[in-house]
Order: sequence, then C-alpha cells, then structure tokens
Amino acid sequence: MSNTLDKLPVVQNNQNLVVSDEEVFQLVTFFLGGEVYGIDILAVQEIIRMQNITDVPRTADYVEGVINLRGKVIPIIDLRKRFNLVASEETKDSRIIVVEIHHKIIGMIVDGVSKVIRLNADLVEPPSLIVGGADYNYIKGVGRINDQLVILLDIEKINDVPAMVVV
Amino acid sequence: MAIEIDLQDFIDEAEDQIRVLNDGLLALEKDENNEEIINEVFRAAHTLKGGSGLVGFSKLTELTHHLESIFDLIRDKKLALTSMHLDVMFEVLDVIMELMGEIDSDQFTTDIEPVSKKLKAILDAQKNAGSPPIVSVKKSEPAKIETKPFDLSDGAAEFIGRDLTAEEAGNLSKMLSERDPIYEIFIRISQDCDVVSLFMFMIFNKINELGELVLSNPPEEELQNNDDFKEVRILFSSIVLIDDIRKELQMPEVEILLIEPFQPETPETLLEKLFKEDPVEAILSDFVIKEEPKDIEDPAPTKSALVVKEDSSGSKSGSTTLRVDSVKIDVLLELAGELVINKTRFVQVQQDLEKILGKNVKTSDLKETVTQLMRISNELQESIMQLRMVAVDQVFSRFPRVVRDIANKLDKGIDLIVEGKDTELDKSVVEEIGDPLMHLVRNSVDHGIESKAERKRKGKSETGTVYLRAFHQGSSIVLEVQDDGKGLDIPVIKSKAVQKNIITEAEAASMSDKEAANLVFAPGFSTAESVSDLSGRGVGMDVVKKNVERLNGVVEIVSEKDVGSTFTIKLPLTLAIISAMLVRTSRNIYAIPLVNVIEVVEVSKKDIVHIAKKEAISIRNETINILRLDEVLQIGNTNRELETFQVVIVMAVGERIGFGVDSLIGEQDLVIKSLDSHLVECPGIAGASILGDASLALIVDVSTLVEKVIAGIY
Repeated sequence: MSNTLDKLPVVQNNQNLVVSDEEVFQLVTFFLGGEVYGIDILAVQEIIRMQNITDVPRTADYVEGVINLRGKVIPIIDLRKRFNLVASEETKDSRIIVVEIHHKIIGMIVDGVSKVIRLNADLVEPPSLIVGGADYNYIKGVGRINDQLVILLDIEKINDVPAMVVV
Repeated sequence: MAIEIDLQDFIDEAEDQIRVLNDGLLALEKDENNEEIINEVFRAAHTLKGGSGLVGFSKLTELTHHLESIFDLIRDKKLALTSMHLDVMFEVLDVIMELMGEIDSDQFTTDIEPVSKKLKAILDAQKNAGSPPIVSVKKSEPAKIETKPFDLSDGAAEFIGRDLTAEEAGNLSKMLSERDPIYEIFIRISQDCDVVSLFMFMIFNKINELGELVLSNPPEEELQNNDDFKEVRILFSSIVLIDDIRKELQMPEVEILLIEPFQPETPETLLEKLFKEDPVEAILSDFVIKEEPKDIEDPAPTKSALVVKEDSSGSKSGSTTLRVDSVKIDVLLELAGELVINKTRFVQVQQDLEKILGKNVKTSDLKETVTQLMRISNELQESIMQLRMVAVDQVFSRFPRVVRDIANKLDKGIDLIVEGKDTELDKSVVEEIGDPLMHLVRNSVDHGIESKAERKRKGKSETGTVYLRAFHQGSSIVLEVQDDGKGLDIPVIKSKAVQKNIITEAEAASMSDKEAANLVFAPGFSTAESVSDLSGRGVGMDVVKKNVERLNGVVEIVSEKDVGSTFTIKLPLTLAIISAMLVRTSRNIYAIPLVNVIEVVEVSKKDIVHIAKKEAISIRNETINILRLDEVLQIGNTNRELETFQVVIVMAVGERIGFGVDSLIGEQDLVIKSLDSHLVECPGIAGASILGDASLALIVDVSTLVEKVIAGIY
C-alpha cells in the first residue's frame, strides 16, 4: 500500500504534538482487545450501557445499526470490527462511548471504560508500526503512564470510509 | 417622526407587490381596460417605489417610478395600454426580480439601462403625442379625488411640482427621521426684480443659514445661472420657528411668500384635506398678498389630492398576523414530535400496568389521564403543523406568467386554469415542489398542447387548456397538471425505451399502456424530437420523479392520445410526519409509507406461483410479484415454512409490487428522523422513527427499494 502517502498526515500530527511540550492531553481511556486506548475527552458526549440496536440493512459490517438516544437516532459502530480485531461477545462491562465527530454523533462499542487521565504531550511518542491492536492509520500516538501503554486514537479518522487495512 | 426601515420588511412587502404587479399585468393582457386592475398595478408600483426609495435601492426606484408614471397616464386615459407595453413591463418585472435576488448579495449588478430606456421611450412617445393639459390651481378646479396610496415623497412631489428622484426621496426620509421640522416654501419674485439670479442666490444663502436645504424646484444651480425663473418651491429642514423664517425671507422683491410646515401625508391629514379646498388656494388666502396673483400655474399636471391607502402594510392597528421566524416553529414542532413519542410510551406503560394490576380505580384514572394527554398532544402537534402551512398559491402564482411566455414564444394559444390555489401544505413542501411542478407545466405547454394549426385540424379549439390543480385527499395533497393536448404516443414511447435500453422488446410487448406511459420517468428518457430551451434535454421527468420521491411523494401520469395528459403528484401534507403501515419481518420492524400502500392481503403458501423463479401471486386476475422484505434488505431470512404471511401491495415505479412480511402491526403516524450519517446510509431506507416502546422502526423508501431490485442491485 502507499505507505508514504498514508504516513504524511500522521507524521505532521506528531510534529505538532512534539512542538507543544506544555500540552496536556485529557483522555477517556477504554479497553479494546486487551489494549488501553485513549480518546480526547472533548469529543466524548457520554458513555452508555449496551442496549438494543436496530439493524440497518446493507451497511458496512462494523456498523451495528442505530439506537434511540433520548429521541435522537444515532449510528453505532463496533470498534473491534472497525479495527479488524477478533470479535468478542458482549459482556456486562461493554459500553457505548458516544462521541461527536465532525458535528455528527456516533456511538462506539468498546469492551469497557477505564478512567479519565491526563497525559503530558512529551510522554506521547509517534506511533510505530508494531503497536498491537488498531490500525496504524487511526493512531495519533502512544502514551506511557506507569508502564502502561495508552494508544491515542485519532477519532476523526474512525468515521472515514472505507476502512483502511494496513499490514 | 422616525421612520424605521427594516430591510426584511421591505423584502416581504416587495414580494407581495411584485406578485400583485405580475398578476395585474397578466390580467390586463386579457382585459386591458379594467380600471380596477390598472389602479391596483399603479398602487403596487407606487408602493414598491416608495419602499425601495426608503431603503435606498435606486435602481428599483427608477424602474418602479417609470412603471408608476406609465400607469398614471393609463389611469388618466392619456395612454392606451398595448401588448407592446405589457411585453416591456414583463421584461421590467423580470429585471426587478433579478434586483430583488441581488439584495442578499448586497451588490446590484443587474443592468437596468435597457429596460429603463424602453420605459422612458413609452413615456416620451406619450409626451410627444400630446402635452398634458395644464391644471391650474384655482377654486373653479376642485381638487380631484383619486384612488392613490400616500407616501411622503408624494406629498413632497405634490408641493415641489415634480417627482422626486430616489436620492431626494431617501434624503427627505432621512431628514424626517431626524425630527427637525421640514418646511415648504413658495416664493414668487416681483416682475420688477432685475437680477433674479442674484436674488435667488440670496434666498438660498438665507435658507442655508436657517437650516438645511432638502430640495427645490427649480434646482439651485439652475436658478443662479438663469434670470427666467420667477418662482421657486423649496423644501428645507430647520429648527427655526416659522415666523422667524418668514421674517428672514420677507424681502422687498418678494411678491408672494408662503411657508408651511411639511407633513408627510397620513390618512388623517388626507381626509382633512379632502374637506378643505385646494391646499394652495387655502394657504394663499391666509396671507397678505401684495398683488392679486394671476393664475398660478402648477407645473405638475395631476398630482393633487390623495386618498387613503388601501393595503394593510404599515397599518398600526387591527393586524392579526404575526411574522415568526420559521426556525422557531421548527423547534416547536420538534418538541411536539418528542411529546408525541412520549405519549405513545405512556399509552404503552398504562396498558402494561393494567395487565399487571388489573382494572381498578387507579389504573382507570391513569387511563383517563393518558387519554387526555393523547388528545392534547395530538392537538398540539396538529396546531403547530398548521403554523407551517402555507397556501400553494405561493408556487402557483409563478405559472400564469411562465405559461404566457412559452405560449407566446411558440405561438400557441393556451389558457391556464388554476384551481385550489388556497390549498394549504407544509412550507417545506412548498419550497421543494416548485421545480418539479414547473417542469410538468412547461412540459404540458411545450410538448402537450399542439400548435394552433394542428389543433384545428384535429377539430379541437385553437386554444389549448392547461389545468393546474391542488386539493387534499386524505392526509395527502394532490397536485395535478392536466392538458388537453396530444397525449402520449404509447408506441413511440415503447420503441424509444427499447432503443435506449430501458426495457426489452419482450417487456415492451407485454407492457400495459399505463406502465408504458410511466416510462417517461425513467432516467435518460426524453421523447422530445427537438431539444428546446424550454423543456431541456434528457434530464427532465426522471428528475421530477426523484424530487417528488424525496418528499415521500409519488408521481403518476395518465394519458390518452389526442385527449390529453394528466400528471398527478401526491405528497404527504408534511415532511416531518408520515402515516405508515408498521410491519414485522425477521426480528425488525419496518414502516411502509401509506402513500405507497394500495392494499394488504394475507397470502397462504399454496397461493404462490413461481414465474422465472420469482414468487408472485394473482389478485383479481393481475399477477403481482412478491419481494420478501427480509431478502431484499438482507436482514436474515425468516422461516419460510410459515403457512401464511402478509403481502403489502405498493405502487412504485409505475408497477404494483407486493412486499412479503411476517406480520402486520398496524397503521401509525410517525415522526421521521433522518439517518444523518454515511455509516447507516442505505438506499431504500428513508429514515427511522421512534416507536411507543422507545425502539426504532426503519422507514422504507419504497420507490428506491423497488428500483434497486429492478436494476438487479438488490
């Protein structure tokens, strides 16, 4: 695949991260396929329990359908499927993180929600190809907190179609 | 008096007046001597002129001023209205509408020169034909009472003796809004005065010392370069008391000096005036006059007394309408929609409780309360929907002009008969339906109605008729365009469709005339032998169909050769709510809009016949293909071993098709929520709706779904 092209915006992103040393990320962290991920807290609208999802026919396989969120109809995606991770059964810890991306609201199914953390920008490294889990394309960087790796998701890319598969 | 100029008010008002102009001109085309309409058009032009003057749109003022002048002449029977005049005026109207369109962009780039010249030419031609009779201001000549609206520039024009330019009118209104009194001054200089220009110079010097000159006739420059003028009319604003002004201006050479506070005419002062004698005469009698004046010849021919304005704009009392931003109503509607959803949940909860607790006083109480809630929330929703309703005339009013223009261009005789223009429908629908309707009307005029010669040959009247109708039918509104033209040529349509690979020969052979007629809505289909600039090329009927379907509506055509065609658009009354049939299939609930539904039948397995491996049933000797909803939507197949299932027969793409579903739930009014995300975009699904138990039902976009199936995509 055209890695040079794909890399370009990501690298620029990280340069931004490095330049502003003072910057602190406030992240909502969650579990997905054994890894810890973080997304910008400002993008998160709310976190809700799993509920009945209405199928929408002929949509991408990672799109689970739509739910009624207090009178609003919002699409729900399965983040495992989105990242081509091994599918798993819904558990009592499963949650839907409702985020706003480009003024559109979507819900993302995750294995469980951890906590809100603050992360200094200088603790975030550019992503390398070998981090497990999600596609390289959706990752802004990798942060480290007490020897725990937190994968920073580039939330804006999650909504992109079609899903990129990079190996 | 301060004059508040609200641009939006002007635009709204202007749109009304333009409509009056348009309708008036069209009416005059049929009956050029109708005085009532002539007056109406005159008033509209006048009101538009006044308004545009106030907001400072000089181009608009110029054009409407000419229009007004022409209609003034027509009213006074000094000019006979000809079709040539009307053509010019229609052109002017087009330019005016262009100008209006430019208000938003704040730049008036439209060139008004060409049409303005044409208008001037009409006025000049009349002038040369015979100079207007001079009206002398004398007691013997009683003030003529005319039906004419008032405005302040008119009052000024009346006094000053000529019409005001836009700039002057604007200037004047500005001055008035600054609250300094404005005075009218009339000065006649004695014949003995030698150097009139010098004297005039002195007067203007004084005027400028005392206050601010608004305007004068003749203008200052002319007076100072010329000794021929012995009279001058001046409007100026000043805070100096009237007596002091008089003292200042009372010079030996002055033969007559009249000073009066200038008041913009209001209905009250006008009425007063009507009971008085001629204003100038009356004023004259109040002053000492050195010498009995000879006839004061008023250079303005007819601008004398005015009468109370008739239209409602600006009236301060008795108005029962309220302008509200439509966004506010949308918010209300949204809230009411949520209330309706809530209400359905209440009903559900109440029923569940009754099941658990049985009937007792409390559950009966609850039931009664819930019933009340239902009634109120339904009424609330309906009332809010009512707020959004506007008369379809908003769209229809464009068409007489369009038909006229095309008919003239093609030299066809066409009567357009509009019916039901007061029929109301949702504003959002009105906004969207204009283009499709326009296309249908143009189509009828262009392709439907035959040429005069052809009609004669067929033994029809030379003048064709196009009907434009609107009426309610259940919870739908029906818009019809009907013509008595040549109708569709079914064999030609079939061969064209085959030629364009829309259908196969075999399909063409087995197709009913009705189905064939609806082929005109297929993409890429156009039977017009020559491409004209009127009906466009290729793109056409299929776009009409798409637009109508986007509004959850259906469009159909019925046509008979040499008798005519009828295009019927059926739309829901509103875009926000649809009546739908709820069905269950697989583990999902779907809503099929009732506008598409023809009937529902229960089908048992043994009734099914297989045609080319496809399921079909026969109802009243008609074979109807069955599409299993779960299959076409790929949502996990239902058990096909069931002995009976339900078939919802719908009309789509000119065909009857049955949707096979597991069971029926019932009819319900649904608030449509769009699936506003590319993630869950599915052609064939129009949106979702929240049901009473807070679950979601997907709303089927019947036409798109059927199209996809026919195209072999689903």
